[in-house]
Formats: sequence, C-alpha cells, structure tokens
Amino acid sequence: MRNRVLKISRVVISLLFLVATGFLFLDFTGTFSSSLINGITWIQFVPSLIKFINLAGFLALGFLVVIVATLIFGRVYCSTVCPLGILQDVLSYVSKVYTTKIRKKRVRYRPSSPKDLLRYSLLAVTTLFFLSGSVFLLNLLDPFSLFGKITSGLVRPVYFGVNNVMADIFQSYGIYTFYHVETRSSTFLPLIFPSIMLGLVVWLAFTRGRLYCNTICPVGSFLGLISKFSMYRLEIDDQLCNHCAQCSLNCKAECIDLKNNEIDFTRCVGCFNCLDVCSKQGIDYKNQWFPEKKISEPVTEPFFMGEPEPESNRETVPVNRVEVSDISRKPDNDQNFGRDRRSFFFQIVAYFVGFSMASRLVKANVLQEDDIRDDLDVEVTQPSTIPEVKNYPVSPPGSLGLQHYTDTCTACQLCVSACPTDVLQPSFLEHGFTGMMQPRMDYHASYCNFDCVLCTEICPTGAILPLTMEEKHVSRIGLVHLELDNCVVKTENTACGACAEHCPTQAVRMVPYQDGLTIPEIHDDHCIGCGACEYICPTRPYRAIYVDGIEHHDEAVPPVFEELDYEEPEEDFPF
Amino acid sequence: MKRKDFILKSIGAGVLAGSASTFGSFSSAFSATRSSIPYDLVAVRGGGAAEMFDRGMAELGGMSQFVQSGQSVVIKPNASFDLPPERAANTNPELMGRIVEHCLEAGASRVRVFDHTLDGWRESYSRSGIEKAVNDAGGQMVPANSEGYYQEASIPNGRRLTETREHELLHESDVFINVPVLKHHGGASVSIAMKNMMGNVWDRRYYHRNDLHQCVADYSTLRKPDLNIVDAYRVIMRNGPRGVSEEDIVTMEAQVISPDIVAADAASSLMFGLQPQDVGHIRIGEEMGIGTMQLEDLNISRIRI
Repeated sequence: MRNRVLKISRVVISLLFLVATGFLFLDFTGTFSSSLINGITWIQFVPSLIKFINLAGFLALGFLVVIVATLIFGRVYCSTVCPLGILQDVLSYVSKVYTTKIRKKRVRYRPSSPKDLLRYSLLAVTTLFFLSGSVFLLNLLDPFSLFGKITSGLVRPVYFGVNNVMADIFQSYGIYTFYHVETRSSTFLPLIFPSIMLGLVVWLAFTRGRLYCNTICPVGSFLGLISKFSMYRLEIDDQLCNHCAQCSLNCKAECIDLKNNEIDFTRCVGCFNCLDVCSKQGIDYKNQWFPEKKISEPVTEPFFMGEPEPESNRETVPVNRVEVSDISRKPDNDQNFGRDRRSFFFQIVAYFVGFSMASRLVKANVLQEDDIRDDLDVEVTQPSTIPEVKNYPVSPPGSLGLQHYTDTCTACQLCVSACPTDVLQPSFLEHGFTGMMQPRMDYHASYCNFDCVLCTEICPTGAILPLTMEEKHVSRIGLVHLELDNCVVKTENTACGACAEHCPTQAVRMVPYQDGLTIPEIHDDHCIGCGACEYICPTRPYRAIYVDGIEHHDEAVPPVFEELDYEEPEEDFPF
Repeated sequence: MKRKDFILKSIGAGVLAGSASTFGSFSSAFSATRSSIPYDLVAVRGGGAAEMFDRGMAELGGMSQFVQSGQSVVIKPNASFDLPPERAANTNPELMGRIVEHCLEAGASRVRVFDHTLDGWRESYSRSGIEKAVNDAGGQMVPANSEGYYQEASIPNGRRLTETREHELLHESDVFINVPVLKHHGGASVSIAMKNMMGNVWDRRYYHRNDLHQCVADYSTLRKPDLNIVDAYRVIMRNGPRGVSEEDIVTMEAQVISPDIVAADAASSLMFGLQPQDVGHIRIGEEMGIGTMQLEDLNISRIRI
C-alpha cells in the first residue's frame, strides 16, 4: 500500500512538472508571471548550476537541492523533475500499453549491463568543456534545454496550428476570443538538432525505457555517480524475494539483475515501478549509511521512506518562488559578482576558450538567410544595391555581450517561447558552431519592444540577466547603420520615414531633404539596437538601415527631452 | 484615360455635393441619410475628448445619421503603439469608449474595433487603454495580427497601389468609422485620417517602398469611411508618430468630425499648423477626387466649449 502511494505521488508530481514545464514553452498568452516561471525552472539542475556560477548567487541553489536529494534518495530528480525524463516515461507508458494490450506480450524490459564507457566519457567531456568555460555540450545534452528545444521548436508549431484551427472555427461565427498565432522563424535549420534528438529519445524510450538517461544524459550520469553513495538505496531482500522477476521486467532503467539479486543504483531513476509491482516487499529502500542492526523488516521502513520522499518534492516549489524573485530584485550586485566569477571559470583552459571564440566570430553576412518568412512581403520595384555589413549577431538585452551570453546560454529556448514580439529566434550558426541554437535577435522576424524586459526576468541560466525597465531603455545591444544610397527617399525621391516611425529613442529621425521630403538621419549615441528600423525598412534585397551586433553591450545616451516651442495660435479654428 | 478622368471627376462632384461614396464594396446605404446631415464638417474645441464628441455629434444630428438599427459597425482607431494614452500616439481611449456607446445607442448590432498595430498587438491594444474602453462600452476588440484576417481587395483607381489585402471586418461590416489621432509624422509630415487607414491593410511596407503619399491616397479611393472622427485632444507636435516623451505633446483639446476624409484631414492639418496642400496625400486626395480640401466651400460648424 505504501509503495503504491509512493508511486502514485511520484507520477502525479512528475506530470505536474511535465505539464507546467511544457506549458512554459508552448504558451503564447503570457499566462505565467515571471516569478512563477522562475519557480518552475529553479530546480532544473543544469540551468540552476550555471546561474549559480554566473551570479555567485546563493539564490540559485536549485541544483544543490537536487544533489542533496540524490545523496539521500538517489536520482529522484530524473523521475519527478526532469521534463525530458518524464516525457520518456510517458512514451514508455504508451509503449507499455501497446506491448501488453495490443501485442499481448508480457516481457518489456530486460536487465542490461551499463554502458559505462559511453556515459562516463560523455560526462567527462561535458564537464571538461564546462570547466573550460564552454557550455557547448550542455547546450546539446542538458535534458532541460533539450526538452525546451524540442517543445519550443517542434511541439509549439503544432500547438499553434491547433489554436489557429480553433480560432478559424470560432471566427467563422464572428467570435474572436481565440486569435491566430504564428512562428516567425525564417529557417528550419535550427530544428535539425532537436528533431534528431527527439527521434533518438522516442526510439530509446519506446524500446529501452530510460536508456537515454543512463547513456547519453550527462546529468543522469553525474547524479548516478552521486547515487552510488546515497543514504537510501534500493536493495533486494533475499529472504522475501521469490524471484518472480516482476521488478526487473518493469524496470525502465534495466538495472535490476536478478541473477545476482543486485541493483545498479547508479542507473536507477527512482520511478518506484519495482516497489509498486513487488507483492512480497522483497525490494525496498535501505538506509545504507546507518544500517539497521537486525535484518530489516518491512514494518520499520515506512518511518524512513514513506514520509520524506514526497515531502522533499513538495517543499521545493514554494522555496523557489521566494528566492528567485529575490534575484530579480538585486540585479546589480549579482551582475558584478557574476563577471568576476565567470572569468575565473573560462580562463582555466585557454584552448577551449580559443576554440569557442574562433567559431563565434562568424560573419553574419555569410549566414544571412533569405527572407523566407518575412512578416510583410515587399514588392521591389527597384532593388537596393549596397550590401549590408554585419559583423556580429545581436544578443538579447541583459546578456552583457556576446562572450557572457554564448558562454552561459544552453539554448533552452525559454526566451524564444516567451518573447512577445518573436524577435528572439533560435540561431543556427550565427553564434558559431558551439553556440548552436542560442537565441539571437532576428530583426527580419520582428524587433525588440522598448517597454519589455520579459526575457531578462526568466532566463534560467543567467545568460540574460535581469534588467529594470529604466536599465533596458538605455541598454545598447547593437548599433544602427544607415546606407542612404539604399533609402527610398534618395533612390525614388518619395516619402517614407518608416524607420524613424518605429524608433523609440529618435536615434533615427527625419530631417529636411529636398522637394519637401524628409530623409533619415542617425544619432547613434541614442541607439539601443532594438532593430525596429531594420525590421520595417522596406528596401530589398538590402535594407537601408540595419543593426549590427556589438561585442559588449553598453549604455546609450537617453533621448533628450527638449521643451516644445509651441505657441497657441490665435484662432481656435484656422479655417 | 478619358474614361478614368470622367469617373474621377464625377466622383469628386458627387462628394462635393455631399452624396455618398459610389464605389468600393462599401456602396453605402447611407446616401439618403448622409445628404441630410446639417454640416459637412464639425470642429470642436475646448473640452474633454468624449465631451467634444458628444457636442459634435449632436451638431451632426446624432450617430443615427450614420448607424442604423441592426447594422454592424467597425471602428479603426490608431492603436498602433505600446504606449499609454498620455503619450498621444494612439487614439484617445475615452473617445473610443464614447463612440462605441453612441453606435450601440443608435442600435448597432455589434461594434468591433481593430488596428494592424506597429508594436505587438496585444500590448498595444491594452496599453493604449483602448481595449478596456471599448470592452467597457460594449464593443469588441478584434485581432489584426495575422495575414489570415485580411482579404484581397483591388483598387481600380489606384496609381501606385492597385491591390492590397485589407481586414476582413471592412468587408463584413455595414458601417466603417475611422478614428485617427492627429499627430506629427516624420515621413508623411502629419498623420490624420487618410494615413490612419494604413492600419487597415496587411502590407504597410509596400506603401513605404512605392511612394507613401500616393499609396495613402490610392487606398482612400477604395475605402471611404462613413465617418471620420479626428482626435486632437492631445497632439504629438514632433518626433511623431511615436513621440519620445510627453514633452512632444500639446494638449490641443480639439476634434474634427466629417464624412469627407480629405476635408477632415485638411481642417486637422490647419489646426496642426500645416497647409493641407503641403501634405502630399491630402493634396493628391483632392486631386483624385476623394474629397475636398477647399474648406471655404463647405458648411462647417465650429463649436467652442
């Protein structure tokens, strides 16, 4: 009975985590507040670890909770919190229903030997990269980030599609409660990697349960190493066990070896399936640090096991909210701390730094895609002639600069999903090979809303650090460039002014030209690089005005508020 | 060419005579009522935006002159910017609410409001205060953020803009009310009623690429509002159409109401301090016979509250 409750609570909590985390990457209505989003992502191991290192913040301690929990109960993280793990459980469940109900087969999982060489090599390489200051392999392998890539890149378009069909149905009855949403990604290239990984995860989950988690996932391997020394570990009681093999057949981790009555606890993901199916209580958690004097009896165990496990899960969520909202309140201190701490980490092994630097400096020009998905198609009567010169991709506000950003972003795509204007898009290789899929500001898709700091508030790794609205208003992330020889005012001698119309700081303003026309003029000290001018500029194939990234974000001069020279006319009605 | 001239001239004459639009899918049911309104244009000064509207409409004989019982109404404000009402980049929300109320009082079956915004549409609808005002008054905000909401429209009289995609509500609704806010515009000198209708269409960049003033005028040959209400309560005098701060704004406390879009633009631009003939699209608008900027020929009511 106790084991049943244990399993059910595990399933309920894990589904809550899966649904909540999944919703973060799907929602387009801004339902969750920033602090709730932070609360949900706080416990995610890799983002929390990176944030901790970045901010040197004692507030980003989610990863420590995971380590402590693992040290006590084994890899419960993998079965209750990790969205990719839970996703695999859902897939395994589907495969179980398929195998038992449709194909009428009974055997599902067989014990297998651990793929130690592979899993520990991947863990070692990932760790080495991380210590050298590169999050490249975490970008590829962190389960939370991978879940984000898959959900945001592959599931979200489907979710949007369903929404749009609903919107169409309601709209045909004149009801506009639902509205159309579109992804504005201009290319499918960033979806290649998530697609491959999704295929791998689905295949492994269908056939081999949690093999992915025990072979490829560096977090799984790392927590597995810790769980070797866990206080409570599963053990088979030779006296109670009648070798019915149910536990082994239901073990998603394939880690119960009944020949030797041994459990490879480094691979156990704490799903409690074995506890649930064992009718003899022949398999159970034992306190390995302070073993019972006498041979354990099932009666004594509820005291240890039944209580603490679900409790630890229950506690984590409220703790999150409080602490993470604290972070957003003190961005300044944390940022300064972060810089010092950060430089220490990525100067350890110069080789890797050099490697990632070299690949980052890819000319954006070379990679510039066509306007496959341009918001508004432009019919070009007279093509513009001067090519744009872009040297750097633009990283989101609050990311300090390309170095900090590319060294801390694991490309989980949370900001991409949350961005209200869709200006944040996954990159392909704009941030270099090692920065694959790290979001970039795509000014052909949209532009950065002046009065928005959402991405800075929710970034789980601290790659984008919190900004107040005042800081955001002067935070320069790129710099405007104007090529008048492409501008319609000059080439066609007609009025335009679209760039100035969109510029929130009047870094671009219209000045008298000829024939009563006005022409853009840039005052780049006011430019924050929001990209509104580039987004709306109608010239093709090259825009007359565009934003190039800058290596280090800096501060723009706030707009000058001059007093208006206005005299009330004498007449009320000058006509 | 002769035939086109003839059509244009006859249309111009028709409008001058105060008759309704005679082409576009908006062939209006109001020809009869429109000719019976007492003034071609009403200008009001010195009150709140809603108050001036009440006075102005009373002068024109009430909203029932334009909206008949059971008709559906679509209103196009300027709700393009993620900025609060004090920044005056969007139409005054108080005015929007009052217009919706007037339409419903006149028996409108439903009143719907949309704008193809520049900034994010949900942010702009909400921050402008227009969403709340419209909902509170009993109207409905409709999204315009996706190409799916737009339908093909050809503009037979257009010179540069000969076809476009405009919001489906313009095709479905019986009455179209255009509610711009008067403001400075860096590219088009001033943005009023004709310019406001750029938010009716999907592809704005085409305008900018292909002679902005001409395209604005071209579209106005197709889509003629049944009523134009120019909000000039707060006016951005420079750095428009977005403005940088409240320093850019003058509280003018004015409003111009007219079924003639060119006349409304002409009167408003004079209040702004510009001669109508110096504003490209207003000049072209008269040239193409969309309306008149010869205000001295019109029967104008001027109200000072």
